[in-house]
Amino acid sequence: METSLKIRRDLSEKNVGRRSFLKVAGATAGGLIVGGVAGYLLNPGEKVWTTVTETTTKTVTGTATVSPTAVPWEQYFPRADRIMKDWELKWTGWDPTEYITTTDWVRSIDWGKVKSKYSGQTVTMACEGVDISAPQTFQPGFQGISGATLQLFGIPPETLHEKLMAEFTAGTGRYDTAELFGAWAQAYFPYMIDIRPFAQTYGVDLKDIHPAFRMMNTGPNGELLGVVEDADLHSFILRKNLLDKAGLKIPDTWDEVLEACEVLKPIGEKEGWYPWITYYSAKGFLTFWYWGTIAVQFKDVTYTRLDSWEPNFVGDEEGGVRALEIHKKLLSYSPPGSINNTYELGREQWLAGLGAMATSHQCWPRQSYDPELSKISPLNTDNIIEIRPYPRGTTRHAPENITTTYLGIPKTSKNQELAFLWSVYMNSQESSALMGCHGTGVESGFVSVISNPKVWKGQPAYKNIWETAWTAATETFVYLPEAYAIEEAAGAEIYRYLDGSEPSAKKALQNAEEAVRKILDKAGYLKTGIKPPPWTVEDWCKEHNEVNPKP
Amino acid sequence: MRKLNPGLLMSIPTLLFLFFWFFFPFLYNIYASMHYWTLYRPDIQFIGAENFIEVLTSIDFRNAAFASFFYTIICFAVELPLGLGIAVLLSREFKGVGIARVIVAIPILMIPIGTSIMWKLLTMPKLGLLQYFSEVLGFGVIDFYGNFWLASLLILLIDAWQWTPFFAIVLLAALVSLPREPYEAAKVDGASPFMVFTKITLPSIQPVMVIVSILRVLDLLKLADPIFVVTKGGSGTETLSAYIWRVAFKPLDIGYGGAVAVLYWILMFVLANILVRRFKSVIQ
Repeated sequence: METSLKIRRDLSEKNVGRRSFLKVAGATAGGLIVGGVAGYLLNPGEKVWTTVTETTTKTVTGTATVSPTAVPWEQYFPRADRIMKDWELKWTGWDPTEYITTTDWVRSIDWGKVKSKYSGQTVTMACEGVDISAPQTFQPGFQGISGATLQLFGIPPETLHEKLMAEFTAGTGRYDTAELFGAWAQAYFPYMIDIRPFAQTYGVDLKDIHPAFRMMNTGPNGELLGVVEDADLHSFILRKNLLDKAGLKIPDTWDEVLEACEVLKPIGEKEGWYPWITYYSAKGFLTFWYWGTIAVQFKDVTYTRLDSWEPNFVGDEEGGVRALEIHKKLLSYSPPGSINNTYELGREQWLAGLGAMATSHQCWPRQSYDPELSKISPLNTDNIIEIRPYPRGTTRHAPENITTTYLGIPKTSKNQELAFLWSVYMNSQESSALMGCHGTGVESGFVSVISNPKVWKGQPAYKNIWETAWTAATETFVYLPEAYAIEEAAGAEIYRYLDGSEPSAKKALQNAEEAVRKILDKAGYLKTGIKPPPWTVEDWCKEHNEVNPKP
Repeated sequence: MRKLNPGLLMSIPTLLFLFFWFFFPFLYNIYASMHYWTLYRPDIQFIGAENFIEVLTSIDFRNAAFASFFYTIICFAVELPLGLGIAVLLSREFKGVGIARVIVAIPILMIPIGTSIMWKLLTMPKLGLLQYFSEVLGFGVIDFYGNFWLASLLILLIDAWQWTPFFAIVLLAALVSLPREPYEAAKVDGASPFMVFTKITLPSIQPVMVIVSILRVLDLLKLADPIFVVTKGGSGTETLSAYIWRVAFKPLDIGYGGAVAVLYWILMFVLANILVRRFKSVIQ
């Protein structure tokens, strides 16, 4: 009591004059300025693009094709020694000064013309924050070869869609190019340009992109909304050493996966790991995706009926119900709280060695080998990483390529052609092969890359992708602008079964169908009587008169 | 000619600001809520109160409202007494009280998302520091994300860690500004510290307590950051703010989202009125 009175007295007796106030305020402002400048100067800045010497130009005329007009720019071409780390080159055994792809459109473009036209200009790109290392890797080379400046904006993946849609609908023209999820491509369609005219101008052969990764980005009249940047399919990855120790063979079906998990569970409890890592399952579209990748392995589940937009999640033989039960069971074998996993959390759990098995995009397998990222790298442990096709239900599809990402160019872009050149530079055959092998989390979608045994050494999952991509299937909703809303609504209903608030898997799926039906009905799709587009790669190729590349 | 009121003239910039930043968006939101309107489609369709009916019959909305009130009550119930206790401690003079006051204030200066991420890292299964101690002490790995009660405990920890200092600082200011005479009289009368606290201190700082409590309650009803980071709205923790984000901003359904926002505003308006009227005499 007395103490508080003393404080009050002291305060009332102090005179805070103008001069002393200004002194303190000035000192504070000065400190902030000095701190800010110091922080800016101490910033490590951009990665320096490795320059080449005269001797390396000899390899240009080796097995790789390089146009004569491109030779002066060769120092800026993506190449293994300019991108890959020492341990990666050692691991793959490549000659670092040789190109790993035989064709690459960067090597055929007349960059002299490009530089004379675009030097000094700026091009902006919005990208997913988790994958920003991919464009950053190629930023110095592009800036060198074009003379332009590239500005990158990283956005968290959970909010990428709504942030971009806000920019596009408002017509701000803030981004010259943006990373767009293929699953929601139709929502972006009205705002993007068709890149085919630019591709023709620069001799860029877009047909080298596997149809599985072009399905969603192709418009009704064949328009292509961007170069594929990240072409994902799921694989089944496992630490074989843990299964061997438990006397287990590699599971081929989902039932076998669950049996293996049950055997591994007590062993994992003793050793501090879990049988399964759930890739992602957080409430909303992630729940829907994860369930969906399992559900399409049951042949009666097709997302919608093939002759109408009527939702088909349960399946005539209740394959969807089985898939949801499997999803929930897998969560019980995963670290606690995995029900709300997002990509980043799942990845950290896997790379930290918390799991024996998982399904994921091909980035996880590659990153597992990275001794700087992964505690389970076979390069410095006794782990054996195996990559297999997705576990089977009553059939086996390569899971839907719902996370194909492409680089779209908004109509409001202030520099469309330069944006196109950046997108093809970053996503050429060689660039994308190097990205996939460099563990950036961004994967190639080119037939010439994923079928190349030399590249398999650097990205072991590509072999599996090449063998299964031709069987891929996709949600039919990806052809609707409402895809995101549909996935969110369905995912929220499916989640109720996972968190126990809905005891019946079938009811949860029926509720999901009802929620989706409402959206489709409001938007008028149920009234039109139009069939949905093909949902498998095979059918899409038939409809578009294209070859479905197979091993 | 009638002279223009100078007071009115000087208020015009503020009134314009209020109109464009509050009234117009608010009225436009009501207009949007009566339409089927998603930003994917150029056409909009008047549907009257259909969105409102859908919201009020939605189990997700009811669950979100419950979660909002639940977190408001538990966070307030912890933060107010804890903040008051800290304020009383900091009102005493002891060595280092100045530094103690600064340290107590630090959490408020952190951005809420950063605080939530920090706590998430501490509680990650097998990887977080708190989980390590939990295993060492024999409690095993705690499921902070997948279990409603444990997730709620974590959300309470995050919010209390960051906002208890808000109570502490405001109440400290009230404590140090109290007149000394009642205390001197109480000392002469031989009153115990407990009596002094309950009969003099508490009633004297009651107006400040009520005001800061009303502000904090209305703030808690908007709780969102820990939800986004910890559970993404899963495990039954989705509050109204998180719900609006999910149904309005993600699918860009501004019709339905607008209806939720209007109902949310009505809820806050009614509650704020009740609180202010109830405690009007105390504040005045």
